[in-house]
Amino acid sequence: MTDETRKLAIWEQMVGAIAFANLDGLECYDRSQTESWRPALRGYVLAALETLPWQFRKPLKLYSTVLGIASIVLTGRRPASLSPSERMRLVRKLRLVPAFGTLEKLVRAMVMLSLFDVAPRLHAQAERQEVKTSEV
Amino acid sequence: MAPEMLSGQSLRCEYLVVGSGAGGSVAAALLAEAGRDVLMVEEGNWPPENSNPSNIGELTALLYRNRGVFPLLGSPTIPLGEARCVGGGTAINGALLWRTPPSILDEWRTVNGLTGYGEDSLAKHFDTVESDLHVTRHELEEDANLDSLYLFRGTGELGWKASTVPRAVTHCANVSLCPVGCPPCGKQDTTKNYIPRALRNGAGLLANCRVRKIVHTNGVARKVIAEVAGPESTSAIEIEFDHLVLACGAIQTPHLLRRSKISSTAGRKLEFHMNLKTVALFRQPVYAERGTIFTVQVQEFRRRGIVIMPSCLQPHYLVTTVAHHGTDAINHVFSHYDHAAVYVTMLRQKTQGRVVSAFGEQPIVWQRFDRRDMDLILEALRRTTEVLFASGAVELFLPIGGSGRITSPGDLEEKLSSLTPKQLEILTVHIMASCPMGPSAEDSVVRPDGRLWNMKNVFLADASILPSNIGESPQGTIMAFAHEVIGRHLAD
Ligand SMILES: Cc1cc2nc3c(=O)[nH]c(=O)nc-3n(C[C@H](O)[C@H](O)[C@H](O)COP(=O)(O)OP(=O)(O)OC[C@H]3O[C@@H](n4cnc5c(N)ncnc54)[C@H](O)[C@@H]3O)c2cc1C
Repeated sequence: MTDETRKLAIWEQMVGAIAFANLDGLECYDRSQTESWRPALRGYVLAALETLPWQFRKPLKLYSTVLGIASIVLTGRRPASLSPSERMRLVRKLRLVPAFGTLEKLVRAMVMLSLFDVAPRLHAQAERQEVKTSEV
Repeated sequence: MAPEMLSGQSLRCEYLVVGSGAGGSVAAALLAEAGRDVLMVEEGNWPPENSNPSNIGELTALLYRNRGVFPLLGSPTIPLGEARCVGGGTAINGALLWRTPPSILDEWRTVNGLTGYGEDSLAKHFDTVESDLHVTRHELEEDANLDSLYLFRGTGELGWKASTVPRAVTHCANVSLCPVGCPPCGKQDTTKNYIPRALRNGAGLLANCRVRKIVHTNGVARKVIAEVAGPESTSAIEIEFDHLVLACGAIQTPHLLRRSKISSTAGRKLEFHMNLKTVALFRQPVYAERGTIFTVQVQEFRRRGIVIMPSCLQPHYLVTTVAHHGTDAINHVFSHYDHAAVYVTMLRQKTQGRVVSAFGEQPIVWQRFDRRDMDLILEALRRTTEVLFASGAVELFLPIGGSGRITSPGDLEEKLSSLTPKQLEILTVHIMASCPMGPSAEDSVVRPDGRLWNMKNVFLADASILPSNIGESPQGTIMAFAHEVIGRHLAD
């Protein structure tokens, strides 16, 4: 955990963990230098949440704080210090918690919107192959 | 001017126009050209001139309210994309400029009792707007907008009605960036025509200025209290006026009226269009990024409230559209990027919202899903699937949470059999009819001349005054109504 990450409030760490869990399995961007731009991406998501009207922002922060505390109880670690696989496991468990889906949807939308601003895209290299109706 | 220099100042004008979007800019231009002393105020900033157009996240943050997501709360919650910049929605929209469908104008006359807004009365305004904004039909191309071409051919296969679309663009660079202002194109947003026309005729424009409250006494609006935002600080100012034109959009206009205790009926209903987005993978390449938005429209079911159109493709939009299907689906779609296209099915549904202003600076919008819309949605999904397969798609990812891909219409029926509203991924970018115009104060908020029933010097000239949703892109209608409202006032 970097110094900057250590300074984040627990709700910010939790939102960051949700954001990164939604990135971890993706192959559509250049993953070779992810560490350099991840803070910028988390910053975008947090700034987006900060611009929400207080009626959404306050409950959302409170809810994320509760989730962050739950994450410490469940994993023994702060959300920002979880490894990618621990983070993924945690998010899978949290998907069973009421209202988590709404928070994740919001965070994911922001992540996806800003991802290609910060991460080099790979699709240009994608082969122009014929689409096969392969299993998804 | 730096905001500190404005702090505590009191400005004065004859006409104060709040909001510089589709409605406000037209109102300001017409008033200024008639020699009136006009000041426009706009909460957002000027769209940046030298930004990198592919930084979509950054531009979305600059041009949209709440970075592009304003939730219409309910089950399902529906995200709204709403502009907050000089030019309003016109700066970020697809530049489609349709005339109001005649059936809607008939409905407004017969059901809502609104006279003077028939096809013939509005025709002159549409002629003017189309000429002002250089509206032309976007013809089919063979080397760009293949998503449109395929869709058009698909409708041909089925014998359905489809049409190319009228757009307010002088030249289109086909770079699929309409929703972030499209710097390389000649999109005719209002910063290119009505706003400069207003400024040339002596109007002023104060950007980054949010009106917070309207002060009124004895049934007359006197001044507004506003806040000008600078890079580091905000300053409060007051602006006095003789006449006030509100054009803040269909949520912020009723919010301002409610907060200022001018109207409690404003915002009691809010109508909108539902957008359902489908990702299609085609057997042959589409290169959909080499194209633009909505250049063909499937109109076969327009009278039933369903139109189908291709949308913009950028990695950002593709990933956002398919995200609810999970990581594997995103990876799959991206590995066929050149074969992917996004389509929008737009609905004229019954579900309505309500603007709630009791909780401070920003409004909350609730909407209650109307069960009767389920039939419309099912039909829309069936028709979309049918036409996309007929167009050559081999896989579809529908706006049904986590439903995965479908490869035949038969797959769809399986997904639809247990579909609940909560599973639907709906979004909207068209809001309207929150302060409807009508012939009586009982069931409308503004008179047919655009003035509030209870305050003669306050006019509304934006999407809020439409009597209902229209099932078609609304910018043209809003601009035509603004022409009529200001025209009537100037003729008085
Ligand atoms: C992504 C997107 C694509 C679209 N595509 C199309 C299309 O192709 N064709 C079409 O016809 N329509 C389209 N629309 C819809 C269309 O742009 C809007 O319907 C139209 O712009 C609404 O006009 P308006 O005047 O009501 O409000 P707006 O154009 O939204 O303008 C309102 C302005 O008021 C400002 N404002 C709000 N509150 C305050 C306040 N308190 N003080 C000061 N300023 C304030 C806002 O910042 C905003 O700039 C699209 C919309 C979006 C978001």
